[in-house]
Amino acid sequence: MTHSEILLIEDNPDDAELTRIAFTEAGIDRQLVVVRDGAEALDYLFANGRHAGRDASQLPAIVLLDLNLPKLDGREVLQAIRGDARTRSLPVVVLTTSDEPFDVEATYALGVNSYIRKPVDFDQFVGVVKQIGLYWLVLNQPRAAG
Amino acid sequence: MYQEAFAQAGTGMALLAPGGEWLAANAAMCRLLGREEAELAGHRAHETLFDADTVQRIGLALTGAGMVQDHNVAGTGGCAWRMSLAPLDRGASGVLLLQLEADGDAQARKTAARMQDYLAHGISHDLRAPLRGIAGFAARLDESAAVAEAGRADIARIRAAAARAEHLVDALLELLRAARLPLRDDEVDVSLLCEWVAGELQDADPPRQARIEVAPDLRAQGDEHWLKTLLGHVLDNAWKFSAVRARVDIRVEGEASNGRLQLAVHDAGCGFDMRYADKLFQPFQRLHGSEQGGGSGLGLAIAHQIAERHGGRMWATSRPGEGSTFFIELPAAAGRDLDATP
Repeated sequence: MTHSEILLIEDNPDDAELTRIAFTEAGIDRQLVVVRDGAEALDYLFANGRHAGRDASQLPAIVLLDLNLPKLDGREVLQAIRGDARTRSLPVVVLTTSDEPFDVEATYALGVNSYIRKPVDFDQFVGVVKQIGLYWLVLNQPRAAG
Repeated sequence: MYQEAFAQAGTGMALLAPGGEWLAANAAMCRLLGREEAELAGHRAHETLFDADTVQRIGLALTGAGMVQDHNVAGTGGCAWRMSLAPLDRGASGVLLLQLEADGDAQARKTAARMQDYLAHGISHDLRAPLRGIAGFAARLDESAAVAEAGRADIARIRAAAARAEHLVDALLELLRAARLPLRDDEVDVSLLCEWVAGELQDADPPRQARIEVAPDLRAQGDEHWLKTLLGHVLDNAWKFSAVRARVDIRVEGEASNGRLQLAVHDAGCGFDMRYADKLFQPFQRLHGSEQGGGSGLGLAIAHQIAERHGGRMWATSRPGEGSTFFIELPAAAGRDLDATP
């Protein structure tokens, strides 16, 4: 069993820090890699740009995606991930603030695995993170690489 | 007589010859186009004054290929018009009647609707994010050993305020959505929705003594999701303002006649002063402070909005100290026509 990292795509540093704390409090000790915008997220996944040295065959266990991002927004990142054979089956969970019905519908149409609204209450948020960790990192059987 | 009606009409009207030349234009048309009738005479309507799409439509109508109805025209100088174009006498003479109306309201409505979309998005995303920061880091502080006991109460207030702000954000979004989203048109079991809401209220406050009686078989026509939201706010309101009683007592009754369903929700709560009855359904108009059960100040406004979107209405009567009755009138379920033959 590999212990690959969690990729968090989040532009708000407060949110990124709270998510990091929540993962720690939830007892999930995977490395959390944070990228600040959609373009950097794709560079990371496909080992381009400042992430050119990375081994692109090593995919994260899961991608946590905010929808409202600078440059490429979350929907475009999702399209790029689903449009490339290397990342087509990568689990992507939208973790966002918005619960606009249009956002939810449109994001599922683009092939996201889960859509989760971040609660304002921190204890609830830790609970949500625990469940994400339990489901995607423990229960879910990923597709074999290759 | 027709000529007089034509000349005096508030709507811009003109007659076009089969080739598209202006034959006559009334004063309203000249005003809209900013041209004298004499300036128009002899010119063809589809050569000047209108945008390319409209010119094409006029051209098609002239060849008999189609009429134009309620077409939105982008006029010169940024104004918006609505245009109709149809044969005058069933096509016998080939003359067409062109009608044009200023549509400034449509433009304003469009802008307002776009602003509402931006606002809903901004509230949903950009306002929640900093709230989560406040709530999250306050929660962290609360767990920190470095905070003196004296500071705990302040942290609790910060967390409670953030939670209230979140509820307010949710309620504001619901109000915006209730005004904007398209509604379904189904037969809805109102009795079932009331029982459902009653169950949720009891679940949220298990020790509270409550009796909620719902008359069976109340059926309305509309959108189930939004009607549940409506009933949720009305019953929640009745529940909250029954705090002064040892037991919550709510009764839901209804009567259908002439295609309308009139619901009455009675409570035995603290009631309200009828002098302020017109403020009940306005956003942020609270008749009670938070210690009496006052909430976001949006619940009844949302309920009212939903009733109106269904072509219905809402009102309330009350005696302070004895309770209130909220009336909701909705379209009755259309599905059951007893006279229908199989």
